[in-house]
Amino acid sequence: MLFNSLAFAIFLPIVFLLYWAVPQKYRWIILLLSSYYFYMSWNVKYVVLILFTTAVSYCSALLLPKFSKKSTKLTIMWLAIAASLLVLFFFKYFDFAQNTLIRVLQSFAIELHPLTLKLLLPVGISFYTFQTLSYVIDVYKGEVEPEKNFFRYAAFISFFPQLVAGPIERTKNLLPQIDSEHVFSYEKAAYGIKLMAWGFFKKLVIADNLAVMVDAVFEHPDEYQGFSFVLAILFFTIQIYCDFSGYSDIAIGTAKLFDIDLMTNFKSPYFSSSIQEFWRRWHISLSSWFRDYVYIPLGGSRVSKIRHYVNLCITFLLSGLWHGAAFTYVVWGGLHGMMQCVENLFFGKKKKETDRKQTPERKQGTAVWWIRVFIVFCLVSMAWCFFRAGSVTQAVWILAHSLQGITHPFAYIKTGLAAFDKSMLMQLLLPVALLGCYDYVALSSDPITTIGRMKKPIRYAIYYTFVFALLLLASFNSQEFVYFQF
Amino acid sequence: MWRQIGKLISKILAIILPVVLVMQIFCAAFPMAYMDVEYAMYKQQKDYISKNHDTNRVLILGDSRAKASFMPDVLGEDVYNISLGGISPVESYYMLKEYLENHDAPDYLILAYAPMHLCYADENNDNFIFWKRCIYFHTFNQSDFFELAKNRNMFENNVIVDRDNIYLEYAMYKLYFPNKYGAALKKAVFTNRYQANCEKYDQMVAQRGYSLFGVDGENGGINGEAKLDDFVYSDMIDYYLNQIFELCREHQIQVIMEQLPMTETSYIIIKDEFYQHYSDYLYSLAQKNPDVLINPYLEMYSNTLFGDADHLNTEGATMFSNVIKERYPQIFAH
Repeated sequence: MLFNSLAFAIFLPIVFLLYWAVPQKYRWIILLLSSYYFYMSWNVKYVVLILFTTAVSYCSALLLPKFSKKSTKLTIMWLAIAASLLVLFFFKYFDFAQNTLIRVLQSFAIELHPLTLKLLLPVGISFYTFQTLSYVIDVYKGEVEPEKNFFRYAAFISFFPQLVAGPIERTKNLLPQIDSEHVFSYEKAAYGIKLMAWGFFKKLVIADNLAVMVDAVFEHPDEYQGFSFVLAILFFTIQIYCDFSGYSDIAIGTAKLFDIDLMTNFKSPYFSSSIQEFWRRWHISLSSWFRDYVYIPLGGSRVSKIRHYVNLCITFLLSGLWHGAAFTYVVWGGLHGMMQCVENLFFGKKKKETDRKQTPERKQGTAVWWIRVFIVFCLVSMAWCFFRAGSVTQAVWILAHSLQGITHPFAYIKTGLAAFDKSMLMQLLLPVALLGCYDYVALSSDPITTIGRMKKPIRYAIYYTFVFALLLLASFNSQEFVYFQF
Repeated sequence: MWRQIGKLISKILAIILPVVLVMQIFCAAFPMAYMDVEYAMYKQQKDYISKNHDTNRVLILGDSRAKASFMPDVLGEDVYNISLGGISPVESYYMLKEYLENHDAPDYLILAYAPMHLCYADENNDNFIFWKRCIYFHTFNQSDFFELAKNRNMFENNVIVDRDNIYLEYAMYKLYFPNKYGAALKKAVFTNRYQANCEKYDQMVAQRGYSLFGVDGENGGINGEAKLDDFVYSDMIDYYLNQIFELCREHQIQVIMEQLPMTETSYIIIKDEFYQHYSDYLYSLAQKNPDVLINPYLEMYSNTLFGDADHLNTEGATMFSNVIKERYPQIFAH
């Protein structure tokens, strides 16, 4: 059941009304049942996997406080992690690992016949697996108490707004909210609806329309040249952001309808003035997960310089691998790791000094800031090429050909633009400009609240125009969210 | 709490509903302003079969290949082409029925379909053309739709209305939901569709239903049949084809089932099994319907006579129409 489907448009109001109709103590049961129904609407069989991962993490967390010996606790924690990761590995990485092994062995003239399992990747497996892992680790560290009620814990793991594509919630934030006392707040619910509308706008108007042009180029790169590639990479940079942050906004907005606050997942990432800052603004729930459970345990930055860089690279390579079982994702992660190392090496000290001298508000908007934002945007976009391409070779080929013909700039741009449907480009111009303005305003305030404070006629004019634009420009082909594949 | 929930819901509706309503009214009132050019063809045909009461001695019915091949201007004054792009005998049956309700029965009906349209219905973005054309354009009668929907379970190979929630889908089209019409509206903002539609409509009237599809001077493309491994007819289409014959029998109309030319390229590529099974099918049709004149021979024309991989260009259509005129002197001698 996609957020952008008729089924969800029927499902959500029913769950919403049921949730508020039942007495407080039963509300989490409505959440549990609706979440499992939501998940099973994709594939009933895969409910076994989420149940298994939930049960393993639940049992191991309950066992942990029963032992005082650290080594026993550690063993239990690692067993739980291994069990969850094994399921993830089997369904997501088995084919990739097998094919890589076959290729390596082939170079030694050893032939191996592949096992064809033809497994479908269960939706959201990477997201809920990471949520269970963080729960077990937090219980091991003593940062959270294990949940005694299995069903309540299952409701936390399967909470439908964030089940299939995050945000990857932390136990401390979401679990207590599942069965705490909820009072319907009109303001909160209205805010949630507006956030959902913005999420739908990003997904249906921007991402899905851009996807048509991006797919055309990446599926048949031989039919394009020069500036078309630059545009396709730029379009994908916007598409992936709108697709994923759109999902997050819908998820966060949906949760607000149930008086539940999910963590912010994106904070205007393309207005980052460094790669490090980009990762503090992009997919925050995942990057903070990797920071807390991989990077810091590896020693973080409180080790030798070289070790620090190694830690950075390992974290980003794993983050890349988390996204998908292909070398393109690994390279994408590796590139971000490398860019952070370079940034740290050359600008680390200077940046700290600048940060001390200037407050964020003063920094933002200056010419230097804009130049830095532009450079970071270009670097991030270039890395997205690997993320989207069918193979590393294809990504390199596209990047290498993207400057073809640049010696004749006018013809270069004209030919590049001619490869795309002019009306499509025109219709996306305003929405993308609106996205840029929204994100820029979001650097210092909340645009939704700002609009909410405007005078009634202006506010309603904005709402009506927005709904009209959404209905007119949206692509209603119910395209899946890109991050579902992860 | 419930008052607040009510307030929230009413505010959401107060913002969304007026916009949806305005869009629906616009879509229903000004279809020529935003729909693609094929709408003009469907609209002209619908207007002709439902509102016009001319008498034609020869009626031509078929898919886009038939529309682009039979030129009434060449064939004679009392000839009219009511073929439409993407339709199969299923839609054709209902169109003929409506024509006969509003006109005197013609003496002759020439039926012509691409063989692939006897196997399956055309699809566009996972949508059968039936939905994206007949229902989308509001040219298919509601009672006919319900009859078709009711009959759909009779067939193993239901190629027209085989999808989930057909009544809900139909209602969304009927009520001009933005998810169905938004894309066309959006495109219309950037192109002057009204003028193009009006021109096409007038052209269709002037040419008595004939329309050019492919505009190339020469085309050696591969048609739909050349992409198929075999000819496997749909039981649903077969049923409605026989219904057409039955309807014509009732009205004493002589039916002629003609074949439409193919590009040289396609003709060479098409598999022997396809030819054999198509020929077997036509033979069985002829046996079941001895009163129907069936031409079983597929013909190839030079690639220079095609405007695209499937459709004849003006030169090709003129040549084909003259061939037909000579082939049936008893019909076109007038």
